[in-house]
Amino acid sequence: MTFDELKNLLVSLGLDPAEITPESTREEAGLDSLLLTELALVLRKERGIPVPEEELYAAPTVAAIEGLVARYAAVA
Amino acid sequence: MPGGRPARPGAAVTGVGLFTPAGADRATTWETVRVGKPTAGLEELDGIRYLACRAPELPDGPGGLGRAAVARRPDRSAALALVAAREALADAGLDAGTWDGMRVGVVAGTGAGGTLTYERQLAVVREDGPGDMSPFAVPGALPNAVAAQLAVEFGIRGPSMAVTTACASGATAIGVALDLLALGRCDVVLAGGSDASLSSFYIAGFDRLRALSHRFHDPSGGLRPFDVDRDGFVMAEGAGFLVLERPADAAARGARTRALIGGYGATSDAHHVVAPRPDGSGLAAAVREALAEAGAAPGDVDLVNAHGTGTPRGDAVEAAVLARLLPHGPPVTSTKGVTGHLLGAAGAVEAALTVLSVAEDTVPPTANFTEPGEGVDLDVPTVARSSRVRLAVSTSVGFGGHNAALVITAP
Repeated sequence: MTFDELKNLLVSLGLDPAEITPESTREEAGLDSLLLTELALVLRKERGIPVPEEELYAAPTVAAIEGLVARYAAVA
Repeated sequence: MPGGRPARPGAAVTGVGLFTPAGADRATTWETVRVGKPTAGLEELDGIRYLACRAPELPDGPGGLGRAAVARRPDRSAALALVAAREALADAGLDAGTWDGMRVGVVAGTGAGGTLTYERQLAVVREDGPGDMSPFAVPGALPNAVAAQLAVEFGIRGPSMAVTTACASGATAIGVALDLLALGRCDVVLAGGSDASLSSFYIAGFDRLRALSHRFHDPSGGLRPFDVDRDGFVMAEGAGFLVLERPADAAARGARTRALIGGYGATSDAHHVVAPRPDGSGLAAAVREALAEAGAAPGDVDLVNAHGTGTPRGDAVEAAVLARLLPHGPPVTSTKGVTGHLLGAAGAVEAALTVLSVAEDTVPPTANFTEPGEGVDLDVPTVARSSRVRLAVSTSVGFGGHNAALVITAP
């Protein structure tokens, strides 16, 4: 999943595209804990990418989330 | 008069917002109702065939949900409410970005709460396991969800609550709002109702009560208020919200008042879990109480927007009550022939349509009424009439015996 694909997914969840850059923190991007859990669900059930929720919670930035998605997409 | 309640100043209706099967906004809904065009169609879900009145697609862009609301994952009942409420606030000329939110309240009527979310997520937890449930399941399913979503969206920080009296919920919400204003608990109330319960649980469940029309060969003719061939209601989804203020406050800020909510009456049948009390005494008392609060007499009524769901028994009881209570024979219309039965939103949508009837001096028609059923001795209009409507009554009743009546008057 490219950064743009991840960004599109986050926008489909209701986040503001202007606030989503690789450097954005979770807070800056608007990802509260409910949306992170929802993101994990969507990644696992709709994209087949099983990123553990705990690892998503620990990711400080959108770039870190992108890295996790890439890692678990490779092993999926 | 019941309770000897003194007349009160009531509330000014300064904003009206609608999102219904008859239209994605107030003007479109009103026009569809005015021309009497039914909206029901035949659908199938989980192997069940049924008639339904669907709300339009939620609009994108400025008239739609908005990005922040999407991120809160609202249940459909809340999504419909957000769109209707935004229109009502804009109509009132109120800017949620500048008001003192602590002085604004919201009362949201609902029959089924977030049942679509509840049913979907219950299936997920049973079939896929608890780890696959959405974290938005509970905040979406709770009955307070509509009120909460509206409060968050518009920065409403005064009293916020859900009220639920089955199919009278929308009218009860407006009645509760009158009390909040009269008691000074806030200065502005967003009051209305929303329901989105076209689910197999509610469709099959209402059908087991023999409440639904089976006129599958003629879907648009399915809901036939007061008609000799009526055979039940058609479920609908939608939302309606009013902005209410004390009349003096509305005048002080120069707001346009479309109409006044002059009085509210609420009673209970204490009779049966779904059937109305046969003598209709609870509904009659609610109407009398609402008229008394408005300082009006039965002979002042120019129009009744009836509950009129098209069930054989419900319409018969209501028709007898109205004929007895209003011997001067004002027109009695049921806009459900067009909109379907909006359940927890019905009372609010019909209050909004009654506000517009008063504001436009128009008696809307009852779609599908051709010949009165037995015991229906009412003037039921089949086409819209232009006539002075200075005072109108909107009646609502809910399963469980909830009766609510609103008196709506010209400002």
